[in-house]
Amino acid sequence: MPVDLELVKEGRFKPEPPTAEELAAMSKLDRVDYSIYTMRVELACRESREVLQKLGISTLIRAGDTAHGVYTANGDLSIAEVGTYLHVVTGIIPIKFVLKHYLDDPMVGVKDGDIFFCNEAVYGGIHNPDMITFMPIYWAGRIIAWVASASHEPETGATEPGGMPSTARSRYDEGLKVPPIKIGEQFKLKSDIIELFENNVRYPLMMTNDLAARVAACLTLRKRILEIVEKKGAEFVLGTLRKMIIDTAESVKERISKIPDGTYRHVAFLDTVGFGEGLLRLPISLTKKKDRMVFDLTHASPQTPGPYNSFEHTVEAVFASLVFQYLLSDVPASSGCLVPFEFKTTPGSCLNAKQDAAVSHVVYLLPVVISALQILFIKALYNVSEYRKEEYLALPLNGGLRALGVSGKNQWGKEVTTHLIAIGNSRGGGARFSRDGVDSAGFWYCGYAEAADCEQDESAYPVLTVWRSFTPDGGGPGKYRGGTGVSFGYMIHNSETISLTTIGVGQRFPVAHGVFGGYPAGTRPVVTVDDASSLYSTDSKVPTSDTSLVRLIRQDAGIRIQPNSTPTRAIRKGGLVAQCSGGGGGYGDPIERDPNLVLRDVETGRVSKWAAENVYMVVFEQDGLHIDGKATEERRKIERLERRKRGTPFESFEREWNKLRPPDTALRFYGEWPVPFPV
Amino acid sequence: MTTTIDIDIGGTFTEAVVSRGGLVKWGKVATTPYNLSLGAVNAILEASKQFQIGAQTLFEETGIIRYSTTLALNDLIQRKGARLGLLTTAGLEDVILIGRSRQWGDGLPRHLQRKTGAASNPLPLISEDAIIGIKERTDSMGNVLARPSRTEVVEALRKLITRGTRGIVISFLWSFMNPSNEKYVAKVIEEELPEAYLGSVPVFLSSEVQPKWLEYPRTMLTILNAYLHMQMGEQLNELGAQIRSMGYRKPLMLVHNTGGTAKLSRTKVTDTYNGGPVAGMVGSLEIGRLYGLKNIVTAEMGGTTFNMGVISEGMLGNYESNPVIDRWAVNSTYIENKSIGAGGGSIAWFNEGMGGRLEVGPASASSNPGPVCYDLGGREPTVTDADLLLGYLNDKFFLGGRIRLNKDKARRVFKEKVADKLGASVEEAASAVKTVIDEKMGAEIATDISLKGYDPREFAMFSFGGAGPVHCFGVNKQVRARTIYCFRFGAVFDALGASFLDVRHIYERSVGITLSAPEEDSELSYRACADTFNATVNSMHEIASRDIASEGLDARGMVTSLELEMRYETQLMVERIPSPVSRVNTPSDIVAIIQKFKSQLLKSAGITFPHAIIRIESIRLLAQAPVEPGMPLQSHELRSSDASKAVKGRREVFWPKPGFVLTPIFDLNKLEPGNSIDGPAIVEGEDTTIVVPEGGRVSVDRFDNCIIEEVR
Repeated sequence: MPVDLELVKEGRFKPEPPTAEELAAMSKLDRVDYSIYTMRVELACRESREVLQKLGISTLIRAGDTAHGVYTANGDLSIAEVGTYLHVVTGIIPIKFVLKHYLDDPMVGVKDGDIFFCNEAVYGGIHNPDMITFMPIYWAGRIIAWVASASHEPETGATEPGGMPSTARSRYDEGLKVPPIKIGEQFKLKSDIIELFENNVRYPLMMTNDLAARVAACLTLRKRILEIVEKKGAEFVLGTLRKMIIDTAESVKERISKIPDGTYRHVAFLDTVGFGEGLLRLPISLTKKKDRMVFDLTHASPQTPGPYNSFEHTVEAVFASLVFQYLLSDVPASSGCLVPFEFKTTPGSCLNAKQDAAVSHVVYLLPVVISALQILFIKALYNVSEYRKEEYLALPLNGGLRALGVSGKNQWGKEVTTHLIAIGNSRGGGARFSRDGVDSAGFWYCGYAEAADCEQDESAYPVLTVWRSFTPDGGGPGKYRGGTGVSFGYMIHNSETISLTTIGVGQRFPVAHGVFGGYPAGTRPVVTVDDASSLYSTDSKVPTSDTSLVRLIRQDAGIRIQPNSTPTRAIRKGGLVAQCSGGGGGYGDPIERDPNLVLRDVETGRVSKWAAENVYMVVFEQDGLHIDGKATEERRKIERLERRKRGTPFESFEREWNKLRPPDTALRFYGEWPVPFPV
Repeated sequence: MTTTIDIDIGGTFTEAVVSRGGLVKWGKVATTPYNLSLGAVNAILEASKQFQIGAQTLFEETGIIRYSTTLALNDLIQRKGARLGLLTTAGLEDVILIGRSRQWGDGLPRHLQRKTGAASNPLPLISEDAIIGIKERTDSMGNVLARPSRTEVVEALRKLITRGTRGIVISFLWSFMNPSNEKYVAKVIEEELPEAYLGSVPVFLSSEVQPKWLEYPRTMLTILNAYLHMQMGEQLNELGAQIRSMGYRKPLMLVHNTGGTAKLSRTKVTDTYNGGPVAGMVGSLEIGRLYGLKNIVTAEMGGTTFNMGVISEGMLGNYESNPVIDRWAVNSTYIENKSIGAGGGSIAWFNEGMGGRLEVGPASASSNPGPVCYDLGGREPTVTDADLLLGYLNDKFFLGGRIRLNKDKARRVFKEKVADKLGASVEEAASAVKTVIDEKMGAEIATDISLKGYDPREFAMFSFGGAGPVHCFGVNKQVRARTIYCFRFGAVFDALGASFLDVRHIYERSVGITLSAPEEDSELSYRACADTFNATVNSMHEIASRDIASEGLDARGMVTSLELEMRYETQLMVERIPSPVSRVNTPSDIVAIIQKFKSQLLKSAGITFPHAIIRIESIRLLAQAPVEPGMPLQSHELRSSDASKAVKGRREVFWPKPGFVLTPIFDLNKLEPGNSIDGPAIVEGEDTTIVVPEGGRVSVDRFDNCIIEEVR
């Protein structure tokens, strides 16, 4: 059966029109009952999450990369408890697919107690490490709702361990991809299916354990929904689930209506396609009219030959991760939230790739694009006084995700594969309307995600954490500084050799941009050292960052500076890898920053003295320990005058600017210069 | 029977419960923040007056004074603790500032954790320039890779002392596996510290304060203890001196969140965090024994929060799974007593993000300005206002008449902010607010009990706190507990609960024992783990006996129990189980442990994994020694069921169906054992109001407690 494009591409994330039965049920809802039982459903989703967290193995479950949702009988999401809002959309298409194609298929069918699975992006998911388990809820012989539980599993049997191969050239390099399929009946998983799954991955125990954990989470949720049905009747549940969607849609539309109509633009760039470096251009514009917003992403670079591609619907999923933390941070997650938003992409571009494209790094590509979208929101929301608050006017966490995967025998002699999630989860927060960004604010995709302690990493994986420190100059300068990310150094310990994979972006081109004169956060590559074993045996100091590592380590130790996305390679005992999580962008002009805050940052090492003097334009007293206030004021005044002198009228600037062109090596995946994908 | 005194110092009130000759009296006065001992003594005196004896006599005959307080936490919130320095593994100096990557979320309610844009890290307890890395390293197997150099330690010490440090915390990676590096540094400090500083700069080792896996919570717990140690000591010395001058001769005992009590010298300050509510749970457990109850949920509804605790299988065995003190994740073990934002001061509002859904809390008007009806400037409609408008509360007899309530003002605000928006009458709106908050609390209880693997219908609910008995019937619609118990002393329940506390210590060690081939090859697992298991338990036993003896008790009377934290290998969360064996002596002991783990997991999560490898992550020994016996409630002879003598009047009370009903009001003080009242009815005491709707029945039992049941 071919992929059902009608389901995937025709906006079916958006809610279906309410059925006559749902409308009738809604009209009978008592307002107080509605208040009570929607809270009950929320609580049930939370309980489901706790069950998964209790049972799960994947480090990403700890990272919060999970979702638990209740869907209407026809597959619209009514409410979800999520770690990452990305998954708000993950279950919708697979459920609608099963309803459309299998409900009446005598060879498959849908019955009470059936358990379904999907991890295929083409069928509405994100990428194949994101695995979803879903079940129908039957009452009186008919489906009245669905429940789902999703989690990210860092192993899919791809060409590289970890589920996200940098070298993937097409979908066929990315491992196990399963369209919506029945994997259990009568509330039990089928042994043959488990065998199939285990046979396709490097870490079968995790695959099966977490599959069973998701089923347990679904069963918990199902039980709670049925309790409500028993108490209030099926009609009440039908009406409530639909009303939740309609209510949130109305509320989001109302919120958007308050923003002045207009068009806002920004452009993002990416510096990798996975197996190699190269520039991608990702311009985005937002046109707001009445209660609708249209995002135009039609001029993005072409589909890449690596895994940095997205399907059209995935853009919408990642967008949900952003707005649920900022613009809609108090709105429940449902299909209704997506109603006012429309996304335009060009088929064949990296944001609307063909079905056979590799897409496993889509979760690294899209935060860069969607972070740019938050800048558009800040520009638009600044016009509305009730939104002029830090919770809305906040740059996002650094969207240039990075990860470090290890695979091999651990110190206990067991084969393990994982991502050391602390790097992904300790990103600097963006600066805000009235405050600095938070240093190490968390995971771009959600505020709930935690990193493991060093001792947790070291207990299961053959590594020593040599350092875990705030990155110097890691946050984008600004009147309000972007939060810094964290620098990590891991040494391979108690294992002869392991496979090391680093993933990520932002070693050449900044991905966390500033706003209103704020600067972007700096770029950062990966540094590896072939033999750092002398670090603890000699008198040298322990490094606290990649730069201090390069200073402190013997120069013949085999130092390599490499892009964040690098294919898997073996690394021996005593080898060291250093990677940083990025910082947030700056808000406002750095020369407007309170000099005392600059001094505090220098004292704590968040900002170097060089940056204090040359970016923030402060002048230190002779002792180097205090700021000379008067001289700083004077220095900044001169800088403003010089800026005016350097300025040119827009036309002449554009004329000169258009003569510039990056080297061809940087443009090999870019598409046509200067506008890559003209429509 | 010895006289006992139990004091609970809260932010607003200080309570003292005196138990003497089988009678219990209590005093409740305003807390005196400038001199806490003053409030404590005043509360005791107020109670003593009711016995008609002098203070000197009371103190002289008192066998034990137990003390619980939230004030350590208040000092923490106000950052009034000691100036500390931290010596940690070089390269990991920023770990306590990074937290688990998003420190800002710890201790925040979940809905605020969604607001990434408003995130803010808590103010650190140690300034960054007082965190110094020492080059040292131990690995996950306990092997020392690098030893600290004396020169480096001396240099770091000098820096800290120059900065005016008043306490030093040492926390190195894997120190719980091998504490030698921490101990060496402590020894160097002791040798090098200038004499003038000895004693005034205490040193805290993470391997001693909390020898458990995971460096961030271990370090934070050590820091918290160091931070509050001196402050708490000063407060208690002041109180100790005061009560000794009045004739008390025994040590002052502190109430712990572990469900026990201990002398100050045997107390980690963090053990006193949330001690009051946990004492209330111990009281519930003991009172429950009188009734033969094994499963009890405590439901304490106060002004701003609703606290609940679960007692299952006759034990206080449910611990906080992700403990946070203030904004700091810790890994100590304390009895779980959950708090949600639902109380008398909870504000009713409409969630526009959810189509105008009516919600109540978590925002609270707290006690200042408080509900609108307090007439202290509150402008938001609250639960207490709703209770007043419905006629459940008496505007002239609130807190025994100590506060007059302004019903007209509450009505005006409710009309404007709730009723008009709902298109309902003021009473219908108030009733809706009450229903929403009752259901919210009830659903939290039901979910929590279910997540622990139990059926809420097999529980009894103990309802206390100022607003508890007003709402307990509504709350129980969700929980469906068999019976609700309310108490005359409900307003001082926590202090009363403390009177049941024995000396109790908890010892924990991370052991990381892998049961390599569960069940199928228990012999192999037995050989691999028996020595570690037994040596750990023996060592903890030894320390426990010493500690109990140093409390002045006979260690032979010590009762111990063993708990294990277990998980499937690489699983993230641990499951806590009561150990079925006290030592591992045979392979069948291993099988028993594994079976217990699996059955527990099956109950709480619904599945187990037959072939997965299981680990014992840590072992916990609970050691308990009885002190002065708690006050058993006196049994009375049951009299007539007729409660008409206690009727103090009638007033219009609004019930969801049929609306206003002229409802009898009973005086709690005049109710006698045996009396029974069918709803609708209101029972009023000075500090407690019990609301019994139609279909409910309240009866006074032989222990003089009020039992509420649904009769149809």
